[in-house]
Amino acid sequence: MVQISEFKPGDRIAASSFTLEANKINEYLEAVEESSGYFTQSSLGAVAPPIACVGLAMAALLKDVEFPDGTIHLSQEIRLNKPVRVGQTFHCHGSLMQNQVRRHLRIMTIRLEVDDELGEEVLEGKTSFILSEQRNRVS
Amino acid sequence: MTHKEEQIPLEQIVPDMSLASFSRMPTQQRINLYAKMSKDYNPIHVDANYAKQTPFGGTIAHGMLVLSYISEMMLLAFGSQWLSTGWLSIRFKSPALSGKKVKVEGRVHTVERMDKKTKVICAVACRDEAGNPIIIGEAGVTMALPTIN
Repeated sequence: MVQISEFKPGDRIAASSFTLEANKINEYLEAVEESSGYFTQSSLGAVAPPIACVGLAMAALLKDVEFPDGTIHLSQEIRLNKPVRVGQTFHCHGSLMQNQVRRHLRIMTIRLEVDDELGEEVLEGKTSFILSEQRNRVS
Repeated sequence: MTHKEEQIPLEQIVPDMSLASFSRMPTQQRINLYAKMSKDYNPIHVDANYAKQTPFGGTIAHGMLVLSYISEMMLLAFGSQWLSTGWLSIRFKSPALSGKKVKVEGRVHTVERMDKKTKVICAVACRDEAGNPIIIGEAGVTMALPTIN
């Protein structure tokens, strides 16, 4: 595991791949109480919720990066370029845009890009976190 | 997609128009499920003993879980255009506490009509029961004009 604080602005995070599995989409739909009717049939080939794709992309990209306990999501930007579908495999890559310490709090911003199997970008985003610099666990 | 689209007709989208609002409740069960799905087991979300000692006093929902409510509101308002042209830029102002109601709301801010498309920008927010902001920001879509055969 790599400590997230070891990254410098401009560093690329190792690229990773993930598949939008139907069971993961179903877990997402239940967790977020999705009721739009667009995604109730999360079978193979069905359109999948874009935020589920962002969540799974972040998980894939940061799977080998260790965040301290208590890390808080500060801000999020997302741009959607095309619908994503259950069963599709995606390639995600990213880089660190900001790594700054202010009053014992570290603010980090990660850029994320997700491409489909055709190499077309389906979404991009920017995520900022606040990490405590003083201790890993509050207890 | 089998869903029959019922988004707002393009000609009815005008500045200051409210988007359909709704409420959600991120219970601990749902937070745990989101943690499983995203593999984000940060104890601030899933460990009550840990979270009790933080300034929040208890577990909080994942930011992306709460952000999904904004995405759903935009999808309901603008249909599949949201899935292929949508964007958002938001800040998490305060946490969504486990088991507490979250109200999701939006209002059309800008409508920019161009030759063959219309850009719509909305102010969006999630608030707690007291009206305090959990998420605030902007979201938008670019809507294509219907083609006439």
